[in-house]
Amino acid sequence: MEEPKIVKVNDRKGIQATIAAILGVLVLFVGVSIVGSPIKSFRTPESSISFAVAMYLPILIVCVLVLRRTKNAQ
Amino acid sequence: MNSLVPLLAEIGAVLLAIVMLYAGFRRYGRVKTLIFFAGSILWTAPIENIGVVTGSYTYYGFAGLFLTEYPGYLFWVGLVPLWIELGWFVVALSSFIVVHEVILPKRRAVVQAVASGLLAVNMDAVIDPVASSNELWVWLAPSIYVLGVPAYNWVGWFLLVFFYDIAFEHTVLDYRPLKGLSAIEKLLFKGNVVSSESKIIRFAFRLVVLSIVVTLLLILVQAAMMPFSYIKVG
Repeated sequence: MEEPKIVKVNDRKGIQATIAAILGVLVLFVGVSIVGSPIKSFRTPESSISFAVAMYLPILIVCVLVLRRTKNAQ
Repeated sequence: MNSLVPLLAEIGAVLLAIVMLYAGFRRYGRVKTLIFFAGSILWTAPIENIGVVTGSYTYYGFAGLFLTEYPGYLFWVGLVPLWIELGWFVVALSSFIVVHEVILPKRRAVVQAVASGLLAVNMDAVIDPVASSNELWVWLAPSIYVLGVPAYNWVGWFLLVFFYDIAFEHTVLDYRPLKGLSAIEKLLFKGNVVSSESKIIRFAFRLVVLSIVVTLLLILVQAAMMPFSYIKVG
């Protein structure tokens, strides 16, 4: 099994901020879907938001992997 | 249409860009991050403006919202709102950092650029259907449509992030000659490629050349999809 990459403490905040921004993109566009209209193909806000989260699943997995790989830096 | 939507998107993109600037400062330092930022504007603004001029899409879905003269957004770069460029910067730099620093460090630049491109396309798979349903931008061109978005848009996202990733990696972070450009660069540029000034000039030159390549590729992809514009998925 591959060893987790050890990221310097100085870098950790940068990588955490990156993950925050990536998750922020999801929050922003789910927010737009809630405040505005759902995606046309889905018609209801709930199905539209479910789609957005589902499409983001690969990225959410990447985020978890990134945080696991960087936690050893503490 | 809710009048809060364009403001929410514009303010949200600015805030996310500030977070990504901070992330870049921590990882690459101020100079390199600001080069990435300025390069993002230089890279996307002409291509986006060409898209508007050629009638692929428009950003005036909210024009006249608060006042008759109000164009729909606060800040513009030509015919494109500034927040579009800021959003591209957020997606491109976050993909770059995740791929280059954590997921695929020390791999070949092409492999890293492919991964960054795919990650960016995945992010846009959420951004674009939501944005076009809410008329933050309106697609006009005939094409194969997937979830209300022309399929060439996904190709465009991949190509833009792929080429930008390689250009930044091999010009600003770790200078290397690019195939096809090295002969011209030898004629145009002389001197030390390690200095920041030299890297900025070479980066700008490479972006201009590559943006012509990407624009031509996108025109070809768009033209190839046009006969199939009756296909709508989702």
